[in-house]
Amino acid sequence: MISIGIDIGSVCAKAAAYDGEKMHLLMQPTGWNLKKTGEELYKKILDISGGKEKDVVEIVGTGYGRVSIPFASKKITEITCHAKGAMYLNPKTRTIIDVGGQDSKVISIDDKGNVLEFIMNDKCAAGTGRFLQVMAHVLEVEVDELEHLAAQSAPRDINSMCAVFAESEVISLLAAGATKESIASGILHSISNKIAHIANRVKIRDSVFFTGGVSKNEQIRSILEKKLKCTIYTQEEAQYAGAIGAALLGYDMKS
Amino acid sequence: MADYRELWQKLGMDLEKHDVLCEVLPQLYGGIYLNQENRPEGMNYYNFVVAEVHGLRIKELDDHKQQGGKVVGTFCVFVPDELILAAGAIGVGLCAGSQFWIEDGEKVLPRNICPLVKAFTGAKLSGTCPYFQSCDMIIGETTCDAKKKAWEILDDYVDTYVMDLPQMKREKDYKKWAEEIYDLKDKLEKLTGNVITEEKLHDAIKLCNRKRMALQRLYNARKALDLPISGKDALLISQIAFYDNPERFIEMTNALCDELEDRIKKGIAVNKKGSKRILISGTPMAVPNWKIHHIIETSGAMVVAEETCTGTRYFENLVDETPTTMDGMVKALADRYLKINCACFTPNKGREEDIIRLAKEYKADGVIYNSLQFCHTYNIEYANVEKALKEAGIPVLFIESDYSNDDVGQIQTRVEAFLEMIG
Amino acid sequence: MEYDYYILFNTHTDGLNMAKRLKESNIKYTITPTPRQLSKCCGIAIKYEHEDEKAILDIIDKYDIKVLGLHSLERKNVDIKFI
Repeated sequence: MISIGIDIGSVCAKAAAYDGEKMHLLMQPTGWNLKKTGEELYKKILDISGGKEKDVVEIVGTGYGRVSIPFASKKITEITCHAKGAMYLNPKTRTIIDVGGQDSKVISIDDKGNVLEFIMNDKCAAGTGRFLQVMAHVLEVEVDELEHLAAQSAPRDINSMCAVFAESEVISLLAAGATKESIASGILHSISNKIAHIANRVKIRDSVFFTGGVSKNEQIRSILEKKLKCTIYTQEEAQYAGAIGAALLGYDMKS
Repeated sequence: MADYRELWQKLGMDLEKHDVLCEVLPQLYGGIYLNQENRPEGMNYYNFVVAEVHGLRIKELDDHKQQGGKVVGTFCVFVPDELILAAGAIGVGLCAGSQFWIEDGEKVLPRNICPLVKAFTGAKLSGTCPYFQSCDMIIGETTCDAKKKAWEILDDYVDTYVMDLPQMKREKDYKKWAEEIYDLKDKLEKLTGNVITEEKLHDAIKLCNRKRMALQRLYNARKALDLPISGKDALLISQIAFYDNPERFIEMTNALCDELEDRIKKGIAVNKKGSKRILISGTPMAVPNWKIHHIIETSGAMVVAEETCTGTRYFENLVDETPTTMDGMVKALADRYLKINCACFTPNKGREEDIIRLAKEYKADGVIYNSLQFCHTYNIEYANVEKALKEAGIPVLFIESDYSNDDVGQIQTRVEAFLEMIG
Repeated sequence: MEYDYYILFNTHTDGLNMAKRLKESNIKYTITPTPRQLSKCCGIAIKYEHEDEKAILDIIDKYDIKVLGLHSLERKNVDIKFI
C-alpha cells in the first residue's frame, strides 16, 4: 500500500511516496505545464518507491497547482498538509513558518498536527520568494547568490514592503553607488521584516519550523530568529513538508 | 428584446462603454447563479430583475420622472428610506460592486482607498450606471473618511447632500441624528415640492417595515439545517432589495418564502449533508460582488447569514409604528437607525455581540470576516471581533479583498484550509 | 456536444406571460439574462429542457404568445472572471 502526495508550488513541484515505513521524496521545477509536471512526478516517485500502480491507494494533490492534478483522488490545501508534514519531520513542531515562491504562511498546530490557526500573506509579493526573484533580477544575480553576497556586508535600508516600490528603491541605491553586497543584505532584512510581520499575528510557540524554498536561506532564518526572539530550525527535507503531509493524510485515510 | 438604448442615451450614458458591462454581466451571472443545482423556483423573479437590471427598472424610474417625480440615490443603510418614499420620490441604493468602475474612479481618487468608493465615483464619472444617471440627488453620509471626501468630488457631477452621522451612541447623539433626519426632510421637500405629512411618513414607515419583515422571513429560513436556499441567492435578494419597487419586492419575496418554508417541511435542501455553515461578517457586498460567497459555496460550505449592510444590518430591528406625530416618528426613526452596529462607531461592542448571537442563531460552524481593502474601520475592528469570537469558541478567518479576480486562488486556498481546520 | 435551449422575446411582458403559462403546465423553466451570442441587448430569455420543446410550441400556439423564436446554444464551460 502506497500513498502519494504531490505538492505543486509556484516554483518547485514536490512529490512524496509513503508505504507505511519509508518516505520517498522527489523535486523538480514546476515549469509552465502544471498537468504534465504532476504526471511526471507521479511516474517518477512511484518508480523510486519501487511500488506498482496497483499498490497506490491514494494520490493527494496540494499546493497552488492542486487543481491541475486531474488524477489526484483528493485535494487538500497546503496548510493542512504542511501541518501534518512538519509534525512528521519533527514531532515537537508547534509553529510553522512557510515561505514559498508566491505565498508565505504561518501555521499554529497542536500536538497531533491539527491546524489551530493560520495566517497567509495577501496577494502582494512582499515576504515571498517572488520578492527575492524580483530583487535578484535587478541586481543581475541568481536568487541563490543573494545569501553569499549579503554575508559580506552590513545591510542598506530598503524601506518599501511592496516589491514594485522596493525595485525602484534598489535601482536608486545602485545609482547612488551602494554595493551589491549591502543591497543584497538589505533585501534579506526586508523580506525577513515582512515575514516577521505576518508571524507576529499568531501566537508563536516552540518549536518553530521554517519550511518552503526560502527556508534554504540560512541568513533569513537567523534574522528571523532575532526578530521573533525564538529558535527557528529547519532541515534538508523542509521543502517537502507539504508533499509529505499530503502522502501521510492519504495514507491515514486508507488505513 | 426591448431596446433601451434610446433611454440610456437620454440619461447621458456612455453607450459603448456600458455595452462592455452588458456583455460580461450575463456570463458572470450565468456562471455564478444559474449553474446552481436545485434552486428554488421563486428565484426566477430575481433572475428576471437581474436580466432587466438596466432595462425595465430604469424605464420605471423614467416613467416616474416623466410625471414629475424625483429619484434619489443612497449608499448606506443609515439613510432612512422612509423619508424618500414619504416625499413621493423613489430611492435607489446604488451598487458600486464592480472592478469595471475602478479605473475611472482612480482618475480623481487615490488608489489606496476602498474599492466601493472608487467604484461609485467611477460609475458616475464614466456614465455607465443608468441608476446613477437617473438620480436627481444623492444622499451621502459620513460613515468613513473616503466617502466624506468623495462626496465633495461627486457634487460636481450630481447634486450631493450629506447627512452627518454621529459616531458615538450617547443620548445627545440620538438627538443629533433626529435633527439630521429633520434636515433631510426639509431637503427632500424642497427637491420634490411635496410636503412630508404625518400620514405619508407613517405609511412609509409601515411599508419599509414590511420590507424588513420579508427579509427577516427569508433569513429565518436559512436557520434550517437543511438549507432551502443558497447563501448566494439570499445575498442577491438582499442586494435587489435596495433598488427594486418595494411593494413588488415584498410580494415576490414573501412568495419565495412560502416556497422555502414548504421546502423545509419536505426536507428539500440545496446543501450536501454535513456541509459547513458559514456566517459572513464585515463590509457590504454591492452588485455584482458575489466573489466570497461563490468561493465559499464552491468549496463545499454554505453561507447561512451575512452580518453586513447587505445582510442583517439592513433589516434587523423595525421602526416603532406606534407614534403618529412628526416628532414621535422622527424619534422612532432615529432610534431604529442608530441601533445599527457599524464599525464607524466607537465603541462598538454591540457588533461583537451581534456576530456571536447570529453565529448561534444560524448554527454557524465558523465566521468569515470579510473586509474590503483599505476599509480602515472594519479592518481595525477585526482585532476585537477576533478576540471576542475566540473567547466564545467560534473559529474565524479574516479576508481582505477587493473586486478583482487576482486573489481568487489565494482566497480559495484560505477558505478551503479554514474548512479543513474546522472540519 | 451539449446544448442549452432558449426562447427569446420582443418584450419582457411576453417573456413573463410565457413563464406564467409554463408554470401552469408544470414545465420546468428558468428565466435568464439573454445570452449575448443570441442578442445584443440586455433583457430576459427563458431557458428550457429540449424534451419540452413540443409542449412549449403548443403553448405558444394556444395562447398566441409572441416570441422571437427558439434557439440553441452550445454549452461551454467558461471560467468565471469577477468584474
